[in-house]
Formats: sequence, structure tokens, C-alpha cells
Amino acid sequence: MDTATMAQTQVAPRTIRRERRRMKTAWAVMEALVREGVEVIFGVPGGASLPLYDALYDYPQIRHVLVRHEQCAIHMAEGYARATGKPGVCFTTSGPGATNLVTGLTDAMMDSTPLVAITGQVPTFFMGGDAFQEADVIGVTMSITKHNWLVRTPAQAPEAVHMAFRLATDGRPGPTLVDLPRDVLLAEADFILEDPEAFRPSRPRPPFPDERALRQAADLIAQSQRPILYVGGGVIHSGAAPEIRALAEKARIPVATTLMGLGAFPEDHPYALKMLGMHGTVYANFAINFSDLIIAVGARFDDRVTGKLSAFAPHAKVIHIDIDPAEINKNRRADVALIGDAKSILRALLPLVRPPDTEAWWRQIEDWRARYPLRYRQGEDVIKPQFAIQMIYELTKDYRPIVTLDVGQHQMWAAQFFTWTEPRTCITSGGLGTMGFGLPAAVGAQFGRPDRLVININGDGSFQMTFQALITAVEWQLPIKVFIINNQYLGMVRQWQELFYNRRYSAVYLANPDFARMAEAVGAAGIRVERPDQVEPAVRQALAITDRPVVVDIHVDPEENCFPMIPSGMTVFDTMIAPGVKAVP
Amino acid sequence: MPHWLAVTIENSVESLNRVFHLLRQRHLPVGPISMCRTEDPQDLRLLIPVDPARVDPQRVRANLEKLLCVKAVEDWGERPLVIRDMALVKVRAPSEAWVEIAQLAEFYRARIVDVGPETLIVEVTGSAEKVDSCIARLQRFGVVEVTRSGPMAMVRGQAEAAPADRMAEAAA
Ligand SMILES: Cc1cc2nc3c(=O)[nH]c(=O)nc-3n(C[C@H](O)[C@H](O)[C@H](O)COP(=O)(O)OP(=O)(O)OC[C@H]3O[C@@H](n4cnc5c(N)ncnc54)[C@H](O)[C@@H]3O)c2cc1C
Ligand SMILES: Cc1ncc(C[n+]2csc(CCOP(=O)(O)OP(=O)(O)O)c2C)c(N)n1
Ligand SMILES: [Mg+2]
Repeated sequence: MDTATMAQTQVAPRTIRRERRRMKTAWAVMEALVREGVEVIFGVPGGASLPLYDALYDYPQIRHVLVRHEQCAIHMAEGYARATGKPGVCFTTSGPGATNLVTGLTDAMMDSTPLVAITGQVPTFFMGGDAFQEADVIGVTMSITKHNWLVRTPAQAPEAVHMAFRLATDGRPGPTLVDLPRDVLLAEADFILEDPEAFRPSRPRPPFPDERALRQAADLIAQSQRPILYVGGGVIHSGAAPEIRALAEKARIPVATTLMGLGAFPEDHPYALKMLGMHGTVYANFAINFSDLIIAVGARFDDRVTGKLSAFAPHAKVIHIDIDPAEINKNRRADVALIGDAKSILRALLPLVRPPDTEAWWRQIEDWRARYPLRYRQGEDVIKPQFAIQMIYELTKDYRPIVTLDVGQHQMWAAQFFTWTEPRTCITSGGLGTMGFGLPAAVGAQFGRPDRLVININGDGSFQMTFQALITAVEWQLPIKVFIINNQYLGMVRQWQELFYNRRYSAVYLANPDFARMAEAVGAAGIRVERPDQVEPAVRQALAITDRPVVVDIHVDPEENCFPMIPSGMTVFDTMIAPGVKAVP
Repeated sequence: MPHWLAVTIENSVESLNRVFHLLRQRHLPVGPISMCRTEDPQDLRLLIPVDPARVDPQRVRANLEKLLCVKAVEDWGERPLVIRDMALVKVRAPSEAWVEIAQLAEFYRARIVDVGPETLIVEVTGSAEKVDSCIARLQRFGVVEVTRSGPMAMVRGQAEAAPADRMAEAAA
């Protein structure tokens, strides 16, 4: 494409309609991205993706965020997607660039996060011959994408890109990948540029639940005595938080959320039981296990929630609402399955719902709630991690922050000690539990929501997995707040070694650098906190800094444990509330 | 009786890869799969037997339907089927054994389709049991090699459109 045409392309208003143009494939890919409304791309260039970056040069309306490791790029794309609901986009080169996406793609697949990865590939005439920087990216990512496309001809490129976007958000969201060989990117062809809506994957859709199934569900609710709503990440994808609230209030049903569902139901509501599962509240776990009806909405009966599956909620019937038919009867048999988008299904169900009598049930739940609140004891000298997290919550809540969590004890404490009230404000790696997710996800979230305060609760171990995302945050002057809950341990693993491996601490001590000075060295602000009375001023100081990222390194009690805990594969009767102390229903 | 899923996919190495990759990845316990061509050279039909006692056929189906290369999944569960297996059996056959082998083949309505200096190839078609039994009887002469198609199947007596067309209609 010559410069004159290029300049024209720039000024022409980007109305989305069908048009025919001659250009190189790389430019057609960029045109497709513009038509998809992409505003930011996270990536690193390389040999195979050079043509793509050459085209990018002509599209200043799309910001490219240069990362220091492709894993950061994809977690940023995830953070962006989870904060906005729109697919995140990342670019990498072939071979090592693409294989660095593997963890992030798996993470996005597990947590149903929509994103589109665009990878360069060696030229088609080299493919299969172990060319320099060749990796079988289609093969490697087959099971960790909803679908992936190898583009063999110029004409396939825009279609693959548009389909990648459709599929990433269609039905159950997830990651997709488009692999673009360099010779195809450089080839010139006549392209028909389409309205993205022209592309639709033609999948058979299960029919919307019929009146009979909806009535069955409503009858089960009316007949139940001990119902509970088990609310998961699908409610957030669906935007069904208002409908969940309406159902809970109409039928007076308690609501427990999964880690991925935090924010789907306001925890300051009297019906909220907060998080259930391994590190959930005792009362949420008692409630679901003693219930006679579970209404699961966009939740997938994960083992962190059920513990020993055969002993999980033995007396409960199950109404399972999920958009993915493959989730039905996967782990727990459903008595009534309602397949489809949670919001539409709940809307259809609501008018049919008759409130059951839950008087006695509520008395029982209030008793559990009173006996087993979340607790910790803060002394004078050493900062308890829960105290630090609670302070961060109290001092930031008026800003309605978007919070990204990393993986470990700090993640669970934050899940417990924040009061989550709004969808898309808790962004964490649930299904894969990817250490290193939180910081880059915060960067991505801030790009998606420049209007909101973004904070990241991190662990000293996890922070060091993707520290380099901070450099990108400095470069873009993002005012994200990183709070490191520094226990000098891979704390979650240490906790398991303490409780289940006779305190034989093997490879869990972290000889850490000075994180505040590390932050200063890359141009961020760094604050070190060692005593309980320093926590509040440090958080306030961090909030006052708005021109660059801040890292607050909070030194906490190294051997604090996260309770309650239902040990892996056990039941609610094994709930530990302190070492050797069990909760009794 | 196994519970059959008839899966119509694009006829390509890539789509076969995707289907088998998925079954392996999800650890879905399926039986031996057979692969048939259809009236359309663009299509392949995989016949996948599942044991409902081990896995919900609906779950296998729901997973397969996520693949873009899968054009249709039909659950043949309880429907009456015609099922045929075909084998080519190469047996060691000095000329004195020909008559006996020919008689055996006759009994199974099998045919001798190749006569070599030392071997015969017998083609046998029928139910899996019949093919098994024929091969077993031929063992006595010395079976050199067997290739077989595995079961191919079709629902009896229905005159609807082909599965892929029906599915496409349903999706539209
Ligand atoms: C250290 C650690 C500890 C953990 N401890 C816990 C714990 O104590 N408690 C806990 O809950 N989790 C815990 N987890 C997280 C856990 O591993 C799972 O990620 C989580 O429980 C899954 O949440 P979910 O069931 O909401 O499913 P998600 O993974 O969020 O799945 C969403 C479901 O919704 C469906 N869906 C998507 N879109 C829609 C739509 N529009 N309409 C309807 N349905 C839709 C999807 O098909 C899917 O089935 C922990 C993780 C880690 C790393
Ligand atoms: C990439 C990766 N490697 C290993 C693990 C196993 N793992 C789970 S939690 C954890 C410790 C996390 O340590 P830290 O970030 O300091 O958090 P803490 O538990 O101390 O709060 C480890 C190693 C993991 N989840 N992810
Ligand atoms: Mg730690």
C-alpha cells in the first residue's frame, strides 16, 4: 500500500461497512482489529511478526503496550477483559514468543476469559521443517483455546480474526488464537473488508429452556426448605447480578459465591454468605452442605468448592443454570438443567418463582454466622496479613477500586476480608491458580478502566514471577497500587507443609530483595511497612501518588495461616478454624 | 449394546486431530472408534461407541459440539441400526488348502479376492461377531495379516436429510 492511500485510510471516517481494498495481509489484519473496536494491544515484536508491527505503525489509534515478557502481555489482556467484558488482545512473534503464551491461554480457558492472541509464524514454505523459531503453535494451544486458526492464504486472514473475536465472546467466553505466517502477512491481495457482525460461527445452540423445565425449577424452589444460591463467574460474564439479587430477595434465599463469582452479589446484603469452598466462610459451607436445594448459576462444581464430591451436599437437589451444555452432569448430577445465558434464564424464571418458607433455615444460618465469623487477632508488634488487607479495604473502598489478586494465602485473605459488592471488581486467577497473574492483570485492568482506582494485592513470591510488568506500568505512568503481603514465604505451600507434612519446610523460604527499592529502581514509588501503625499512613501515602505506580511492601507475620480451611478432598465436617480445631455444625 | 454417537466432521487431518485431541484431553472414556467416508467427499463420519454406565453420552456430545470442525453429532442411542464390519484376511494357502478355504469362505459368504503364490486374501463382511468367527476359523491355515474397517453403521429405515444438513438447518 502506498503512502497516499495510507494517509487517506487514516483520515477516512471508520464507518463499518463492506468495502474492497488492495493491501498486504498485515494491513488487512489491522483493519479487522479496528473494525472489532480494539483500542489496546499488549505484545512483543519479533522476526515472524515484523510485518504486523510494520502495519501497526500506520494505526496510531490502536495503542500498543510493549511488555517485557509475553506472559505479562497475556495476563494484561486477561485483566483488560475481566475489567471490561471485552476481549483482550495480544501480539507475539513465532516460536518462543508464542509459547510464552501457554500459561496465560490455559488460565483464560480455565476462567472463561475472552481474549484473542495473534501470533506470528514462520513462512508457510518453511512450516514443518524445524525452521528458525518455528513452534507448532496450533498443536500446542489446541486444548487451551476455544479454537485456533492457522492462516494459509491472505483471504483467510480477516475472516480468522473476526471469527476469533466472535468465538472468544460467544456462549462461554474463552481465548482464541490466530497464527499468521510471515509470507502470508507480506502478501498483497484484494480484500473485502466486512462488518464484523457478518461473521458468526454456525454452532447448533441448545434450545432455550422450555416452560416445563422452568416450572420444574420454580416448583423445586417453592417446595424447598433449605435452599441456597451458589453463584459463580458465569453470573459476571452474563451481567446477571441484578437478576441474582432479585431472585434471592423474592424467595429469601441465602447467596454464596465462588472465588470467581465475588462481586456478583453484594456482600453487605443480609443474604450474603460470602465465599464458599476450601477457604470460604464456615457458614457458607455449612449452608450449602446442609441445604436441600442448590441453585447453581454460572458455577461449575469445582473441587475447591465441593471437596470430596461424593459427600458434598448429600441431601440437596440441584438446579444447574449454565451456558455450556458440557458442564451439566460433569461433576454433580443436575435434577433440573437450564442451559443458556444466566441473565435470560433468570428473567424467565423469576415470574414463576414462589417463595418457600425459609424461616427456620434462616435461624439456623444466623446461628452458624454468629458462631463462626471470619476472625484474626492483631497484636502490637507484628502485622497480621488479614489486618493489612482489611486496612487496605477500609481505606480504598470509597474509591470503588478494581482489585486484582495474585495466588496464595494473600489471595484467600483478600477474598475473605474485602467486602465485594460489584461485578468485575475482583480479578484473580481461580481455575489455574497462576502465580504472577495479579500485577500484569492490574496493568490490563487500568488500560481498560482508566477512570477507576486499580489495586493489586500480591504475594512476595507471586510478585517475583512477573515483576517486569511494573516497568511497563511506569512507562505508561499508570497509578496502580501494588500491595505486597510479604511473609517471606511461599506461604500457601508453607501452610500445607505445616499442616499436612509435619512442618518439614521444603523450598518455601524466600530470600527476598528489598521490594521498595526495586520499585524505586524502575521509577515507581516504593514504601516499606514493618509495624502495624505504619499500615494506615502507608496506604494513604500510596493513594496520594497519582503519576506512577506505587509498591507498598508490607512485612507481615511469616507463619500466619489461612482459615477456615477444608483440607483438599475432605468434607465440611473436617473444616479447620485453627490448627487442630474443627467447626461443629 | 454400545451407545453410538455418529459424528460428522470435515475430512481433514486437522479436524481428526482436533477430535482425538479433545477426547484424550477430557479423558472421555469412549470405545474403539471407526471412521467412514460418506456421500460427501468433504465429510468423514466417526462412529464413537460410549458406555452410558461410564460417561453421560450427552457430555461427550456437548464437548464434541464445541469444535468448529464438527458438522453434526447424532446420538443413535437406542435406534435400530444396520451395523457391518469388513475384513481382508490374508491366509497362508498352499494349493492343496484352496478348496477347504473356499468352502469355509462360502459358509461365511466371504469371497476370495486375491490369489498369490503362497497366500489367499479373503474378504468377509458382516456383524463384528461373524467377522471375528471367520478370522478365528481361518487361523488354522495361518493368518498372515488382517485389516478391518471396524463397524460401519446406519440407522434403519429413516428417509430424512443427512445429519450435517439437518444440523445446519437447526443452527440457522
Ligand atoms: C489458592 C486457591 C484457592 C481457592 N479456593 C477457593 C475457595 O475456597 N472457594 C472457591 O469458590 N474457589 C476457590 N478457588 C477457585 C477455584 O479453583 C475455581 O476457580 C472456582 O471455584 C470456580 O468458580 P466458578 O464455579 O464460579 O466457575 P468459573 O470458572 O467462573 O466458570 C464459570 C461457569 O459459568 C458458565 N458461564 C459462563 N458464561 C455464562 C453465562 N453467560 N450464563 C451462564 N453461565 C455462564 C461457564 O460455562 C462456567 O461453567 C481457589 C483458587 C486458588 C488458586
Ligand atoms: C506458577 C505457579 N507456580 C507454583 C504454584 C504453587 N503455589 C501456589 S500458592 C504458592 C505460594 C505463593 O506465594 P506468595 O506469592 O508469596 O503468596 P503467599 O501464599 O505467601 O501469600 C505456590 C508456590 C502456583 N500456584 N503457580
Ligand atoms: Mg508469601
